[in-house]
Amino acid sequence: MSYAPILITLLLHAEPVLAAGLLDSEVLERAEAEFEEGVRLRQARDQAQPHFRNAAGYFEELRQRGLANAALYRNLGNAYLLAGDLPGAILAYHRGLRLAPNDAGLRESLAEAREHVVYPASGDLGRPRSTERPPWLPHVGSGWLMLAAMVCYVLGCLGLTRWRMVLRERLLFTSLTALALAGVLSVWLILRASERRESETHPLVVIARDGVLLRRGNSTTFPPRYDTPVNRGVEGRLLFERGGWLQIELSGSELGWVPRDAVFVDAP
Amino acid sequence: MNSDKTISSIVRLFFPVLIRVYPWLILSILLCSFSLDPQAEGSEEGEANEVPVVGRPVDLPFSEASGWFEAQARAEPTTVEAETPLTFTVSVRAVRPARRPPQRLDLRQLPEFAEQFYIEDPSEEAARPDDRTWEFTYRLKPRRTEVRAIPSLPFVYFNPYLRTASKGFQVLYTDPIPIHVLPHEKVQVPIQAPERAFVLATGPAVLERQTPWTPPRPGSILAMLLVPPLGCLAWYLLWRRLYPDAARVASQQRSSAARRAVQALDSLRRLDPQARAAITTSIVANYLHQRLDLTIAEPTPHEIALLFAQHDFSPTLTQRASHFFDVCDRARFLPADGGTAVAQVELHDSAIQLILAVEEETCPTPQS
Repeated sequence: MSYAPILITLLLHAEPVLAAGLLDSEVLERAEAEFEEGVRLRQARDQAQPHFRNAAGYFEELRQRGLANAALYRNLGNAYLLAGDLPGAILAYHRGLRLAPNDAGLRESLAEAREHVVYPASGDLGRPRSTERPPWLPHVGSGWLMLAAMVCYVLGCLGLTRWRMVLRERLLFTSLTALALAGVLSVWLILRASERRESETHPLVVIARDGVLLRRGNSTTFPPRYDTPVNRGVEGRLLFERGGWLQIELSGSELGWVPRDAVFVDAP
Repeated sequence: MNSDKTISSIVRLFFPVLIRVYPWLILSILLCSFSLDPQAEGSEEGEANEVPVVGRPVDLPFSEASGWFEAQARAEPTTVEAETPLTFTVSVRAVRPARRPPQRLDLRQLPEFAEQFYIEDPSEEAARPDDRTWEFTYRLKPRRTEVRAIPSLPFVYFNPYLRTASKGFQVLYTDPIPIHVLPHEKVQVPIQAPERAFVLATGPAVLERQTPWTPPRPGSILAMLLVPPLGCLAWYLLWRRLYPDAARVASQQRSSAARRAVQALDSLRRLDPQARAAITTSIVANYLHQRLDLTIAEPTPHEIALLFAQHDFSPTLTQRASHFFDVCDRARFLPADGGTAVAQVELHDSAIQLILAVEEETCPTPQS
């Protein structure tokens, strides 16, 4: 699958900035200055939004240069959100969460951005599924998960060996518990790796404009699959690409084809 | 001369007649003049007030006015913001007595007005500054900042004073009024967003290059799975080589009865010596019951010696077992003194050693 056109779309989507000859730190300074000017003018939306848009352009430039961290994506998402670019904000928050799943600020920002998405009044078309995960449950990083599994595995092996030496039942019980825990953690890790592979195969897409119809085929000659259009900010997964059209699957498993320029794709 | 005579003869002939008719003639004229029908005069005036239909301009609204008028217009203020109202006043003054008064014109019928202004048409009566003047007030809102003037207003009326009927309908154009329309001052709307969105993350962390976690390669996973058990195996073999006695003990403890007995003996360390002696005896007796089918609950040293002899244990072990139970009896039933206390301390270790010795003779450990 070629992502070059999608990248071009993303680049065009960003505010063009003349930052080619600048160091990363200088681009960051400009971004921060634009953002702070926007904050200063926050009481006048028409005046503030161009500054936020410029700030988003500078942050996007840093992202294009390969910088990636939760703070950068939080700034980028906030700048897009304040500039009125809801799809860009949602995409940036998702990218940040992929790097830092435990970042509560990013998670809450994503939830608040989703509240601005206009979903159909009737039905759940495009509406994200509510997660049953309790908010207090931490999102353990995959690296930590793997480390914990390895520690449990090693402790289990050592415990079993020691039990073989001294034949203490408590040692046997503890060792088997550690090995069982290692197994559970390994299964968790495998599921997460599977999710990651799935997200790489079918990257995230965000509807970029209002009133996009999901069609039955890759052309306007095909009838809409649903009478209700979806609006900007609705999330889905890219399944297939053909002839300038993308087949996407929304959060509620609704399938349909949309024009390429109607969505932002979370391409690397 | 003849003509003079003729005239004189005519005058003389008709004069008496004229004298007699003249008063009647005068009277008739007077009567005629006074006998004019008032109704007839009224209808003549009504005809004069009537406004003909023919000849009206079809593309301009008619004011319904009949008379002789002058029209002027003024606006206040002449500098306004777009989409804010200004007052436009049309003043119509009758030069001669009006036959019919002017009515309010609908400016929306005039394209030049409708295209450039939002027209509010309050249903107000015309103001009358004096008997001859009518003033009509409108509220106009410029639609755009490009609006430069209020255009001429065509005032159409009928002039009955002009005898040429075809020219009776007159159109007066007021002067255009220049105005200056300023951009509308926009209402400033604040950005609605959660407060956290206005907070900028700063510092060197923003310039970091992080990569998402990637699972290790299959070779690495295999190594991680194999290294711990192999290491533990090596540890175990090394341990057996370094501590053969401990290995032997561990092998012997693999008899479940022996293992349970040793664990039960280990758990007695916190008890007082008297209770520990009684329970130690019970544990060892229970062990012998499981291993050698001892049927007596509290065997004597002699009964233990017979049991061991029946199972072909070595005389040394038989004597050792008998001695153990003898010590147990002493520890349990004799009054406590220094020697007994020492015996109670050694009792625990002797019990374990006895059990391990029985296990050794029952299933000897192969020499490595």
